[in-house]
Amino acid sequence: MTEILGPIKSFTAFIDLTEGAQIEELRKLLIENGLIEANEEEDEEKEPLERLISVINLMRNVFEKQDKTIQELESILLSIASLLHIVPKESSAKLLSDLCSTALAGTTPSNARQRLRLLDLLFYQFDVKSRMASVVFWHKLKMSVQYGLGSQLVIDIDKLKKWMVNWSFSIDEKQRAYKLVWELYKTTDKKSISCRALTELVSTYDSDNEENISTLVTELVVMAISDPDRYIFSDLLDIEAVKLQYSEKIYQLLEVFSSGMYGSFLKFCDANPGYLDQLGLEYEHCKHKIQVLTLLSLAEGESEIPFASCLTELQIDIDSFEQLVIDAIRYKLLSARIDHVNEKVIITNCVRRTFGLNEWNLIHDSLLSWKNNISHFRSNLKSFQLLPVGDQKT
Amino acid sequence: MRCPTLQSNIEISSMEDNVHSIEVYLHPVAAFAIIDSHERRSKDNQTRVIGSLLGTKTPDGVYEISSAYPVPHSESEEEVAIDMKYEQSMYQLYKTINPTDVVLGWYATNSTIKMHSVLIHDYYSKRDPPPVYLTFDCKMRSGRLDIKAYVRCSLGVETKGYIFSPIPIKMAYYDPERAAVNLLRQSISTDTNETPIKTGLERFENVLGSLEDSIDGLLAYVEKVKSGDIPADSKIGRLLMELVSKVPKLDPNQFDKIMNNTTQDLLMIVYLTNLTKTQLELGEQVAHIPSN
Repeated sequence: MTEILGPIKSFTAFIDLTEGAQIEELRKLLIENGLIEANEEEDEEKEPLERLISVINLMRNVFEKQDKTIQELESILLSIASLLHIVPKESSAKLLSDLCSTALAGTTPSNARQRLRLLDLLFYQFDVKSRMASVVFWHKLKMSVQYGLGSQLVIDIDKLKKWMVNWSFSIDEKQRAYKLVWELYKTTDKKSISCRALTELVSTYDSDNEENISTLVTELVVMAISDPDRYIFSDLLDIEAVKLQYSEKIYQLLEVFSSGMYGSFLKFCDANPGYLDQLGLEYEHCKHKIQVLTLLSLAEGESEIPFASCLTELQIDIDSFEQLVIDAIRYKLLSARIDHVNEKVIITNCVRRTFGLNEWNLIHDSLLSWKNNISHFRSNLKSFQLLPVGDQKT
Repeated sequence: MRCPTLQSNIEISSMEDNVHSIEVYLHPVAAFAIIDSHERRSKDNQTRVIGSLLGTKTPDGVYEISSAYPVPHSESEEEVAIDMKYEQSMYQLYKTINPTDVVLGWYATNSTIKMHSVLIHDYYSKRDPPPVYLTFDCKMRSGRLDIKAYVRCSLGVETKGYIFSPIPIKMAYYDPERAAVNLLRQSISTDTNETPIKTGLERFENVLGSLEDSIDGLLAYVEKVKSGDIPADSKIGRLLMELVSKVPKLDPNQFDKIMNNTTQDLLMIVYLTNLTKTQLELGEQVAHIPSN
């Protein structure tokens, strides 16, 4: 058997054939399927590279036919991939891209998951930092969007960010990638990834270089507000592209959710009747969310808050208020106890809606007192004298 | 009655069997056993050591390798032979102490995948689950111990060949393992490559010291943010806020009182254990004195 070492270090294949013979076997398969004439003489003249290119392109028809098992397709695909090392470096990415298209030929909604696995298999053959991996990644992403495979393909945005640096993607490529990720998860249960991708997408625009940026920002705000797990909005206000929309209604709405109280929400709704419906936001959902947020604002920096002031601020009755406090605790935004006898809520900790210098000072003070406590205790500890007991030889 | 979801169920189960969804977690104990086996090889004729990997496998393809043992083998240019009998009896012995563990694959202590690897992989493929192949670059060619994991896929149309496809591998730690690894790391910076194991109170003191250092680091960061040297990242801020909110807010006196009380208890335990130890040693010494 000959050992083949591909252009990429991790690619090690073992097959008892020379490269030429390996291509011949692939061609034989094509001949069996009636895709090329068995005209030996003519073929002998051709360079192996040329023949490989024609194999990649013609193999498309074999993949379209659907008469092979997934294992057979896998073997064919890997066989071609292991030959890619004979391709000169400058055209290898192009050929790999063709190979991906071949692997996806004849994809139907019912076999889309299997085809995605084929691409996954190819993806793992390359060093994830290499440009080759990015070629496969594009195909994976595009086909997942096309066939709605959001539940199959898991994308970690932080990882993707690092990869894109390695792949030296241009701004345009990054935007396209984020757009695809956003679309991919939009209708799945992984909405938070979709929202994250959209946030990253919007962050890539810095000035008025994009006409549809206001649509994107609107989409982002709506998505963030309708995300049931999201309660912090102040970070969105830091994005340059969002700041540019400061005169728009959507910006005002975002401000209400990032730092406004229930009262300002009602005022906004009165001033802009029908606006929430127009955005596709549910009034009840928004109301509940802003009430929870208002509760957080009331609790901020306090150790206890009386029922009375909360009830007036939130304009609800005592039963709904209790439910609201329970919800806030359930969402891990608040740690508190309800004191029924004295009609107040005792706060031990709450999440901050906005995060500014004030909060940093608070962290600083807490850290400092923590450190002082420990160093004080350490110095005390040193004063303890252990009686010399036991074997001290070691 | 036909169940419409049956088709998709079958597909899921076949995906679980798929080797590409395997994730490997390696415990330091296994890693040390492998490196140790490499160090103990006969240096004249052996360039690499191979052996079996043991651990557990979950239904969704997570391999957790918690132990390993070397298997004698000999290889030349033409052939490779492994001591199957030894391998099987080792496995049987291992199985008696850890009944839930199975052989998850094998390792080799070099980084290049050779033709022989295919043959050895064949041997391990006879068992369930599909084996993984770990390579340890014990020569540290890249300057660090490179650990890679592979599964085997087949390729080719008529003549079948194989390819080792890389899969993700991560280190996994239990708490005691973590503590041991941290202790071992400390020996890197010493001249003798040794670290003494600290006893109760010293260790406590050390931990407190490192905690104080960490807090110092955080304080320095926060101060830089406040002075504007580092742009404020509200994400980090929120995490820090969560951290400090977990520390109980106590005034120094209260804190001292609580800590002193627990320290008294701790000291008592340390004292008593030392006393017991001395007592036992004394007993042993007395037993050795000839009786006349």
